[in-house]
Amino acid sequence: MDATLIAQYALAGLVIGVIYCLMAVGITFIYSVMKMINWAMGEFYMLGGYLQYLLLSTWLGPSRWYLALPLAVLGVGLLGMGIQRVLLRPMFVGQGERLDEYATIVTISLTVLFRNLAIVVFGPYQFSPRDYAPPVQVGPLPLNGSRLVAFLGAVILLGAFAVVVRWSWFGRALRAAAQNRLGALSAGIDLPRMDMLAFGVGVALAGAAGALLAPVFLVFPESGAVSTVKGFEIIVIGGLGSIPGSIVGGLLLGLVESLGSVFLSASFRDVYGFGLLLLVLALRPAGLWGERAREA
Amino acid sequence: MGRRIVIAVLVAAAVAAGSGAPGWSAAAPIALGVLTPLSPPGDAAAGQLIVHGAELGIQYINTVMGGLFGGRDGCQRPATQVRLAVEDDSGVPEKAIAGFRRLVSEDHAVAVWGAFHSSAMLAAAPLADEFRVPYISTQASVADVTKRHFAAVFRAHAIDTDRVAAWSGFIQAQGWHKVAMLAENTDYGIALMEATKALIAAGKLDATLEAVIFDRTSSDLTPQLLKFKAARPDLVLNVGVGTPAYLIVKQAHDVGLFPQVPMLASYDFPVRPEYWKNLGPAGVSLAFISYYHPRMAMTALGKWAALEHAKRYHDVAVYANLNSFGDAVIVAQAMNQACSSDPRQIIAALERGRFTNWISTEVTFPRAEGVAWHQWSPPMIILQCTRGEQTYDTTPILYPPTMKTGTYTAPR
Amino acid sequence: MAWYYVVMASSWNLIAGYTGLFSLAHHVLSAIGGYTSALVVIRTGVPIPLGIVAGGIAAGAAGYLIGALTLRMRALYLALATWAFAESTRVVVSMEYGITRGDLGLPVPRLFHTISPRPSYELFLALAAATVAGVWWLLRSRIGYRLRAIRDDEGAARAAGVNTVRWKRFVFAAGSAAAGVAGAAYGHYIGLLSPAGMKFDEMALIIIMVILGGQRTVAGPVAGALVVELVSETLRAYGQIRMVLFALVVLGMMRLYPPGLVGMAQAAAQRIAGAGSRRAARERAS
Repeated sequence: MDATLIAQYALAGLVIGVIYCLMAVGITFIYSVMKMINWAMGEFYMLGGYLQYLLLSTWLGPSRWYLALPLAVLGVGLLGMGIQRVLLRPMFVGQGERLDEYATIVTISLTVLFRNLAIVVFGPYQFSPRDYAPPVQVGPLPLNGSRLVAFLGAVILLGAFAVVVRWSWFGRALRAAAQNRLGALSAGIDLPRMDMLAFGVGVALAGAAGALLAPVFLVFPESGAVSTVKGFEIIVIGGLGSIPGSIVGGLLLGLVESLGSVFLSASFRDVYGFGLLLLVLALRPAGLWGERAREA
Repeated sequence: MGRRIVIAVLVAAAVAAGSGAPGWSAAAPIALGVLTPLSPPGDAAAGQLIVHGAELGIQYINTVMGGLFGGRDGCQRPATQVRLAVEDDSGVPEKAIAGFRRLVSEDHAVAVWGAFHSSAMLAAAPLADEFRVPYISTQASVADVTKRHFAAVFRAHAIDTDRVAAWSGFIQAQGWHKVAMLAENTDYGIALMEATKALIAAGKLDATLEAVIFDRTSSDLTPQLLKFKAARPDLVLNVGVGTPAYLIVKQAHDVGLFPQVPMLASYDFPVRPEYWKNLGPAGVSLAFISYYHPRMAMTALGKWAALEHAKRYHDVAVYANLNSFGDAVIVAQAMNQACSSDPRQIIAALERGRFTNWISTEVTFPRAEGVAWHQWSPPMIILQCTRGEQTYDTTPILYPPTMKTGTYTAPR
Repeated sequence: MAWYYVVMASSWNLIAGYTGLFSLAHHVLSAIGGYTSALVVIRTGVPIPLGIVAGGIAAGAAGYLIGALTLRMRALYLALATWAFAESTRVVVSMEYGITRGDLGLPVPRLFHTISPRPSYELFLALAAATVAGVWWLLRSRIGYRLRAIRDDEGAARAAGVNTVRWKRFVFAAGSAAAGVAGAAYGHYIGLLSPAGMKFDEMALIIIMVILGGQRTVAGPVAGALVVELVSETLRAYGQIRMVLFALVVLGMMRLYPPGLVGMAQAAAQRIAGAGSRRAARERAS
């Protein structure tokens, strides 16, 4: 096994790992603020892909992907905020006791809704926009242009996200809400609005992943399913509610999947993630960075 | 509750049939059934094409043939119209079984065709035997469909061994020796892999094979393809159906494996309109197995179907359309020859008769040995996309030598 | 197949609605029952009814184990852990094609060799009746009071001397066993098992049925399963639109009228009976 090849595997794993991070950070961010899991994350990923494809094929023309990208992300984010406002917020205002259950049922229904709606509207076909950029050479390794764009886009988005959460007033308010909802409320933070923004930002990250990967993995009604699986694997590995955990978990999963295919069997690639997950659950039940309190 | 209503309807239907004129009534059109994938995880795009072909077949029977019977093939029963009943199998075995049941027990279909996924076809085949309703495989190609000698199952479609023979001949003609195969974990993929291995083991193909099986639902095949890239094979065989087939081409292109290394796809998805939309320039140079080329000589029926398809769906007819059309007209001819709408009589007529479909006037389903049981294979050819946005009729035929109109063109 | 879903919805409602254990592995427990029964019958040649019992036992045991491992987790972790269990089981079953024949599907010996759907219909009707009766009896008995106490306030129940963990485990195992029996019978009815039944959509369908009918009622899952199946049959020609419809109805129901169809029927019955709107309001508030 020569070194260039291993480097190419590692590169492929790294690129895909960063995209996994977008999904996982979205899930964990929504969780940390709202204390709920959004099971429909993969469907927002799928919607991001469709939106991107539609913008490129009908309005902007195939080469203006850089314009379509922010629009698709914004669109998914706004849709998420709308959904939060209409379906989720009333429950959070009332502070009903069965909040997780309510949120789980609503978001699972959303997966069914969006997936089937996509089949009804677009048919069961595969779509794909043109590659965002021509292939490039990274040292001796060829890399598809769209993957490079997706990688850079994901890094920039994650960076921007980190900056906003860390240093802006908005980010501080969100973190306060994440740490102690009651405390945040008494400090005069408008919690319902924070929730809405957090949900919008979280699903927008999934939408961004979907739009970035549209030319790489094609767009079809079930395209979100795989990314949901990966996203959940990562947050269990990294620890629910931990953003650094999601990032490390995402990169780890990308590398394990890619390198597992070389050193073990390529056929069982999608099982490695679960293996890693079971290992982490057995050794560190709260995930690598998880909160200590897992018991009720 | 659903079942109870169904039973009530059945009882009512039985009573109505009993009280009416004894025997056979000219008024009710006879139902022919299509069971095909119309939603994921099945290849719904293929299912749609098969339904279109079946609709053309029904139109042909009702208009051009003037319905069933009515003096044709010496059958003096009054002419009768046919209607189409469609069920979705989603490419899933259980759903195929449930769908077949419904077609026979609720729609009273006297013959069924349309299968695309072999696993779905194989699941429903025992049911066809149990009900004694003829079931024709439109595009399910695994050997077992005919090899298991089902009394009611027929196939006018190429089988694994035809396909493997085609690529084996092509590989030898090209002088290639090192072959890599990426196959999906369905019986289609696994059967093709095993048939190719068997051919090599028997010394009939002088090549080495590195085969990797992948899960149909995974979307990133880069690691598997990188493994091939390291091995530098002479040819990569793409044995995916639907989305995976596209993903293999696209991602092989991304990692620099294809078109540097030639790739042969196991079926004719590159002739579909979405091929160039999805892949763009990455799709150039792909070689693929097909059963049809617009320049091939078709029968009068085939010409009618191709023309009518263009009128009705504004698109060039592809194999899935034509073969589903073919199955419809074969059933109609068998019914005329049997002069009956009794499924058992249709089965007997299919075994005895000689039929015309879209490509041949010599279609037969003999009780032959092994996989040739109830089997008729259309000719199989290998084509290549040589430039972007290429239309079907300009793709050169690389194989077999008798039909050759071009040679394999490596990318510049 | 409506009665199969009645069993699934009722037993899931027992687990999720009455103990708050929001399991997302119910469909996989049914498949475990199915595969166990099929493999037992094929490998050892025992009669099919015995295989079905074995399927129920296997699913019950798996449920007991999952229960033991996850019961102490918070609701969200429990949902995630059961989901991960379901997904990994599905992947393993589809890749281990030496044993399960993976996506090709495992041919299962059939229980009834007739064209008529009648005997199977009666079998599933009996299973559904047994499950519903079992759930009803369980909730009427002293166990039912304990379960409700656990659901309403686990801490208080524990303080009052209820062994909460034991009862939760018991309910998880009982509900799983019911799913396992139903899955085994389903396999022997259809004659084939494949990992497609272990996809998450199947779980989503069960949840939709329960919510639509009315959570935490005995009649709710029955009504929900029957309505969903009936509407699916009627709208068969419309393909995916019916799923869109169900999802929309469930979302609307969660948002505006959580008691579901059964709650609606009860409210209507009370209004007709002239029992006064006060009681209806109280019902709705509870």
